[in-house]
Amino acid sequence: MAGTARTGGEWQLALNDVLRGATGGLLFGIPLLYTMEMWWLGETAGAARVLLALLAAAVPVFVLVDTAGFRRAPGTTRFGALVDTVVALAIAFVTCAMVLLLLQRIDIGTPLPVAASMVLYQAAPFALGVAVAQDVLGRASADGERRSRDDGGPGTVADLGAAAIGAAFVALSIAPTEEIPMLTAALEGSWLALLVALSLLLSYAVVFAAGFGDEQGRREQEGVLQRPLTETVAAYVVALAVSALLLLFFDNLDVDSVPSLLAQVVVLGLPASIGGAAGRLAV
Amino acid sequence: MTDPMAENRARAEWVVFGISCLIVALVVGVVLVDWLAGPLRPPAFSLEQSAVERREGQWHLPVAVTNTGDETATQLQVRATVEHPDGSSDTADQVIDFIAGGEEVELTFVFGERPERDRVTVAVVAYQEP
Repeated sequence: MAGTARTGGEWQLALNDVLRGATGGLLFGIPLLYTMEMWWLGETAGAARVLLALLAAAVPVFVLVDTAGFRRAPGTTRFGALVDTVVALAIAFVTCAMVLLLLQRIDIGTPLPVAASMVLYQAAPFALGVAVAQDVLGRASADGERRSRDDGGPGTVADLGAAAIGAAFVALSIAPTEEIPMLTAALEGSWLALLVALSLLLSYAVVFAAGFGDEQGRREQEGVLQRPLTETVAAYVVALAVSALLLLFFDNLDVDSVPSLLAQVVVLGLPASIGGAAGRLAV
Repeated sequence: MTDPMAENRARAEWVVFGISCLIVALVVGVVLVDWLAGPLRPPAFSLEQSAVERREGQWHLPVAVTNTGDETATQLQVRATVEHPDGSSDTADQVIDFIAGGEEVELTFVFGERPERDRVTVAVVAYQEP
């Protein structure tokens, strides 16, 4: 607990829990946020079906929160698990709404009930990822720390290599889909800039702010590309390169137009950078 | 003796829980209110043409399609027909994959000759119910 007190006390801890839940949810849920059938289901499924989907997700979320959870120090009572289930659902709602807004699947012209239905439908599976965030990403991070101690600490090459593997792992299933050109067509420059900012922010949050592992140890690494800011930017560049290669491999990259090419890479760069951050936790 | 750190922590977690309750209630509430508001009206459409623009030697006619009903329509087919003075006509079709109740979608039809407003007809010719 001394480490947590150092980083800013109980409010910081509560914020870290929320951040950890959101990043865990994104790691599991981002392929669904990039799936057009999920956008359409949210629009066309009636209220009864949407609420049923939420209820169907809330039960496993409760069980997972009770056994795994997204907090570093989860509650030990059933009531505590119920509280955390509500928090997990709220994290899923806000994160899904934010990504759908950034991808312009929801905009000012979307009627409120339709936007709420879309968010609910996406949030139902997303909340499962929130519920296991600490267990899965925390364990990956603990394994990474153990290996680092054994071999004298992760180097720049190991970090960036892990970022590339993590990025490929998450982006692989999205790269060949029609959603990439479809999303790119709807996004203008300012939205792409926001996507870049969110990708960098999430990548930084997963590794250096969400409290998954030995953040202090990572901050004290000495390589030029191993300071928090430089490592985040370098890992993002790696995620963009992996995105470009995957799009090229699946023949889904518009090589005739540079702005369109860059936009496609940035759009795939969001899930890739989240995967890359999770990969870096594991080394 | 109570641990002040643990007390503060519990307070922070209760605040997060309170905000979470509000968010969940708000999103679920919007869907519930919409559901309880009564039976949904079937899809219906209004179309509004904007001023025609010339670009690269072609004429672009923007049309805003609004679903004034409550239910979503899929595969909505919109057709623009231009009658020319010599009796011939041009048609252009567009398909909107999804249009939710209350949603507006902007379309643009492209013609080789200037479509005079009184000689253009834009209409919804078909749609599917999901």
